Amino acid sequence: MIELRGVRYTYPGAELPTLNGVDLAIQAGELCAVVGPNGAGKSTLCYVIAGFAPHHFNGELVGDVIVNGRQTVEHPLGELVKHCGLVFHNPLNQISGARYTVREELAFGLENLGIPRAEMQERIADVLEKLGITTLAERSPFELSGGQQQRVALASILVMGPRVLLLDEPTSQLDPLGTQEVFQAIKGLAETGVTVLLVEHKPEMVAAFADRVIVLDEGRVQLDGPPQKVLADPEAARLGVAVSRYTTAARAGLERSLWPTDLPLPVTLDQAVYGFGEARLPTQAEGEYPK
Amino acid sequence: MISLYQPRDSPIHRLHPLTKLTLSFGLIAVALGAPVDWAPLLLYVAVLVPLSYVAQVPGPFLSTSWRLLLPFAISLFLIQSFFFPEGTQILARLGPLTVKAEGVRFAFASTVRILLITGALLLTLLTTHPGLLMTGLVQKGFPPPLAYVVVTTLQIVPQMRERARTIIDAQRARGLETQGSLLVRMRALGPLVGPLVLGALLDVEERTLALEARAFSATSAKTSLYDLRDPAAERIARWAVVLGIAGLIAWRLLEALQ
Amino acid sequence: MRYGASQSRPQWLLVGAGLAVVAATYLLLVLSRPSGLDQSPTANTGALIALAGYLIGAGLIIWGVARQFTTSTYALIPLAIAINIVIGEIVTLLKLPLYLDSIGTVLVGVLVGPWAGAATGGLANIIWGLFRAVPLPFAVVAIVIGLLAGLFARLGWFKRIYLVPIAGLLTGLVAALLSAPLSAFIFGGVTGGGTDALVAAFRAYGATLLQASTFQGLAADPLDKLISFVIVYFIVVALPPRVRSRFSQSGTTASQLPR
Ligand SMILES: Nc1ncnc2c1ncn2[C@@H]1O[C@H](COP(=O)(O)OP(=O)(O)OP(=O)(O)O)[C@@H](O)[C@H]1O
Ligand SMILES: [Mg+2]
Repeated sequence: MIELRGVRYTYPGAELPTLNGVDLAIQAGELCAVVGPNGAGKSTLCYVIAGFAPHHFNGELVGDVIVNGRQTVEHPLGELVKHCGLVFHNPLNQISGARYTVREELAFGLENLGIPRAEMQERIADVLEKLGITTLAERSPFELSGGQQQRVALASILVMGPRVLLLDEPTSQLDPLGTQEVFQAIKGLAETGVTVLLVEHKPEMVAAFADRVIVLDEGRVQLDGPPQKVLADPEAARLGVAVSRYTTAARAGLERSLWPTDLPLPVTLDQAVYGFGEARLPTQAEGEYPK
Repeated sequence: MISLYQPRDSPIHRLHPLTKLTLSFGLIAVALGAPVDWAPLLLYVAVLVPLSYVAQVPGPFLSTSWRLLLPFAISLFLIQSFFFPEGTQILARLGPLTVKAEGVRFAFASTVRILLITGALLLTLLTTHPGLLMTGLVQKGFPPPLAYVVVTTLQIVPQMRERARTIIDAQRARGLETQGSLLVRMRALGPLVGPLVLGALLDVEERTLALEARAFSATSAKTSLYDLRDPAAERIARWAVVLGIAGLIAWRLLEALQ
Repeated sequence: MRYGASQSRPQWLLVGAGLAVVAATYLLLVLSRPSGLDQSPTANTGALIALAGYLIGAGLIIWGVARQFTTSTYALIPLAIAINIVIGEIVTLLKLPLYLDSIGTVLVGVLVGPWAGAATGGLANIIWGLFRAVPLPFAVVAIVIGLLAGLFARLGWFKRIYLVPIAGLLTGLVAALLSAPLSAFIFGGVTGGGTDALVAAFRAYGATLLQASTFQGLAADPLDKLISFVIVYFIVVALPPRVRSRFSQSGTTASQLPR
């Protein structure tokens, strides 16, 4: 669904490439999280996949970026955005302001694409329902809470029908409730077969929602694997990836023999609770978390 | 959102926005082109005020109209009555000052002209949702990116005000003087304007990407969620008014050129 | 439609026609002074010509440049107009004897280019007009302010701090001259503000109304634009290079702006 081969991207005027040899394949329906320190190139990776680099930013792109079977450089942005959507962290910058209600805001992208009115109404009703914001349809997007606004931003991209969705720290400006709302929405989408690439700092959230995690640093994929394995890996911590406090606690426990030696370090609260509960009975843990 | 719009259910509200706009300009043209001073006042009283009742907005119409007019009217009557060197007919003397009939008449003519121009536009603005106004214009060929600019501006001004308020509070807390001599107040400008503008410019990048993500620059013909009613009668009326305006201007122009 | 990542050219026919209509209107009003002014009028010929000429001219210019900009520029313009409005309010709050309500317009002219500045100015007044009505006829003055700011930047006048006030002064001069006939023929020579006392003073010395409102403009506009231009200069200097280059790619080249 998303395929990058030998991708190197340099911003105009920059001396060094920001992405420096990225190889990455993400299957349809996969929810893949991207983590990494500040300046690692996570946002740039999103821009490259979406085609904003080089179409919008200019700069130099080397290698193949194939999304939905299309080489992004060969298609104009107006065409690419139909297949691959991008959501950022600040909801206020994403609400166009060109429309007055949530329903109209959702229509904005469809109007630009020239979708017929009847289809537009149908798609909008669908997406509103899917994200649980039908009751907000006639409200002004400017008077909503952060979490609601971010779901409107997400909806206004989804309504354009992309098969690939890129989310660049979609919850960094939200409170815990807003974060939860947005993550539930994302999870629901992935279950309907949308391919999701999620840039996210909060390891507990990533472990709870993602199918796979990659660690990006210095413009390269440094680690790649299941969330559990990658996030608890000391190598990730060394690269500057945020470490879950449960991992830290369990590592301390391990040194004091309070953690089962044959159980991987936990990332989420549930895993930690389970592990510490089993700590004195390592044989019963069977080396795995129960489903 | 900042706007004058008053939601009501009236026949005026239901007219196509372009019809209202055209009629407003038609009225302005007639008032300015008419050969008598009091024509604008007549049109205001005989056309605009009754229409404001039909539109169920007489209160907002009259109050906004006079609020906009008042500063002009005061200036005009004060200045033109007393200082009208071309005038000859003296109505009254107040010490060294004289009130001249021509001056009073000129002040009256200018005041009613401003009253009508603002009133005609006001009635359209009070009865037309700005979003619908732009949708209507775009459907008639107005450039969509300009419609984007207009509506977005109306909606982000309150946000920008909010941001300005935050900056003012923060700078005051840091000891910035916003009162005092002219020099002190001038100096306050930099610390307030700088962060406001820089903050706005930093938003542009992300706002641009968000627009692109919504196919802002797609080349296909755009559609619209709303289907605005535009009956044939309105279309014909609009063309008639446009021809009328053109005729009036041409006539006046020929006259002026002679 | 051309907008997207690269800027295209204005439709010269429309823009040229617009500029010609405005110039012709100005000359007609100033040179032949149709009836409707000074003498007790029997016909307001001047008012109709002034309003029609300036509105049609502004419309043609805006239409001619409407579709040519990059998406970044379209994203920038609403913020710039909001800056005009909100800084105007800050100036009122500080009780300064200035307007400073075109800083956003000048900024777009300098950062992006003359036509973007022109569009920003024109749209700013249309938007003001949406809740004030009065600024609408003055759209063309705002267009010219944005246009001149952009042209001065293209000429490299924003590279040297001592040229910036001169550019502002000249722009204010043109703005004052251009708005005088509108003010005189439609608004009876007054603005409804404090500077109207100047009109009274000039009239007391026997100036015609057109002269008086020209003088009034000259007393206020050049200084106001001078200060606006200087403020914009300092904003541009303070911009992170990456932000600046994003806008200047398609208009003013970076080498024409201060380092
Ligand atoms: N428009 C641009 N022009 C030039 N360089 C850029 C641009 N955007 C980002 N960069 C540079 O590319 C590098 C990676 O930036 P990027 O925003 O992709 O990192 P990130 O991983 O998303 O960081 P963060 O966690 O802070 O969001 C940084 O060194 C940054 O300075
Ligand atoms: Mg980032």
